[in-house]
Amino acid sequence: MINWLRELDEALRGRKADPRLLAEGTAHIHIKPLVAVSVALGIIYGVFMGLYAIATRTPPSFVQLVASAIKVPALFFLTLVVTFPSLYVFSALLGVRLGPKDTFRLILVPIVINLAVLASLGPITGFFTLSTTSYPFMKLLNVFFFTVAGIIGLKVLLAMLSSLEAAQSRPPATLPELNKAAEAQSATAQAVTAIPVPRPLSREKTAASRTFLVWVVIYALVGAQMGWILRPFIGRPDLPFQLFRGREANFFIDVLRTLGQLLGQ
Amino acid sequence: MRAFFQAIDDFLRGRGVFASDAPLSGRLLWLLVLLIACGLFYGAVMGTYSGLAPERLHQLLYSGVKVPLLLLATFLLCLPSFFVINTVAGLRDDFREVLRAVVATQSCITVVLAGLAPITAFWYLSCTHYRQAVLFNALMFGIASASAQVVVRRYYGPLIRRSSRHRQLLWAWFFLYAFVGIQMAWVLRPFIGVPNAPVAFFRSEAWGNAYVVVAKLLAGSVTPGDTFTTTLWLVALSGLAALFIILYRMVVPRRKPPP
Repeated sequence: MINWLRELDEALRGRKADPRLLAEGTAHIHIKPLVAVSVALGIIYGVFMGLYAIATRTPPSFVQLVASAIKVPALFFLTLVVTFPSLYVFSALLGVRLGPKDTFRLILVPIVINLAVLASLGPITGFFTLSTTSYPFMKLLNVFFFTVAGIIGLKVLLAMLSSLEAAQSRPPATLPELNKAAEAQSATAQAVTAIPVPRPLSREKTAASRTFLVWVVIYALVGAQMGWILRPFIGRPDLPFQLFRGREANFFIDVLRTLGQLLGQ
Repeated sequence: MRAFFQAIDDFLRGRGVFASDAPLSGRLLWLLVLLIACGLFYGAVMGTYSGLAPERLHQLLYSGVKVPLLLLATFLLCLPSFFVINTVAGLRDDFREVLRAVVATQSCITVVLAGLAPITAFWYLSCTHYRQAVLFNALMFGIASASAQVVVRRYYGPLIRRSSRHRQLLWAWFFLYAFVGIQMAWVLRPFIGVPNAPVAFFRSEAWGNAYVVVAKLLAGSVTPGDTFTTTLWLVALSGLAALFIILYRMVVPRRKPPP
């Protein structure tokens, strides 16, 4: 448990994206604790999301709460299952030097951070859930929070990729040397700003970053639609509890429709 | 008591424990004490609109409790995400200072409000409409949050000079805090208390969502009776936000681009 939190803390602080560590491979990213902690974070947010079914229904629907708590982590990992093979195949095809396990570790960190941001927004979701009865509003609020968390996760992924490139494009240096270099750099740069970590060089558009960028778009699209397939997460108050709803329309049409409902109700 | 007023004086002038380069220990507790005490005081004054009849005296208590409650509850709800976002942005080492800066902003709002309390009471004596009372309080809150930018500058300035990312995070904080705070203010109504209505901690019909009301208003699907009060709220809130942003831009200067 404490080990999980330590891993989470290191991921959040950006230690996993340290170019010095990435230069030696991705072994410092431990899969098991990170997966465990991201499932836990997903459950936390899922519970806050499922509160709506308790606050709006009489009798309160605890099944929906449990379902939401399971569905949020499931959403992220099922999306990963769907999109990971294509990421690996294309990156290998385009000559990226990462093995399947390395690739997995590399994308696990942004996902953990994504879920951590989401879970930290949970109390706000809970507050709005308890004070709001409007279903369209809750839906849009959740879409917004998922988007914000996703964008932060994406930024982390891009930062990791560019430090990976910086690490690979440079001959491996020992730690003391790097520290010296950093000191020299900060001494000159102190007048402007003090940058604690040596920043990676210019972000080159290499095969890795291009593949990952395309993959991020795919991940986001599949994720949005996965959310639609796994719905209901919040549960429309006038419909009975169902584990899954029938196949109908898609995520993006529904977001527009919800906006219309919120304005026109 | 003497120590309390000394603390207020030090806080306003940024001296002693409150100096921006003073050690951080002990500052947070004082900030919270100031926030709660001054918030209670202004809230109680705010609740005097409906009169000081003995059967309405608990309105003072309710209004008094609500002001610090509004600020602190909003603060606590926003804190986890602000902490995580700060960490992801690589600014965890500064978080102790950041925390004191944002708490100090809220304490400053209540201290300024407490200073404005006599003016509010005076206004109550000379106004006849509940609406005027509401608008005047909105104005007071606007002035207080605008003045609190002095404190934002004092404590956030050094942080921004250290890393310009703090500026973006400060904006994120303002956005998040306003987003939650508006809804919190909406839920906690009434702050002043309508004179004819019975005293209640929550208004029975007040539960609901400020943004949904805004959306309805935009779509024009609100009954005419509600429109006026809702517009009033909207004008008050958006004016507050605008004032806040304008003063913020004035107070915190943009960093010069490095040569």
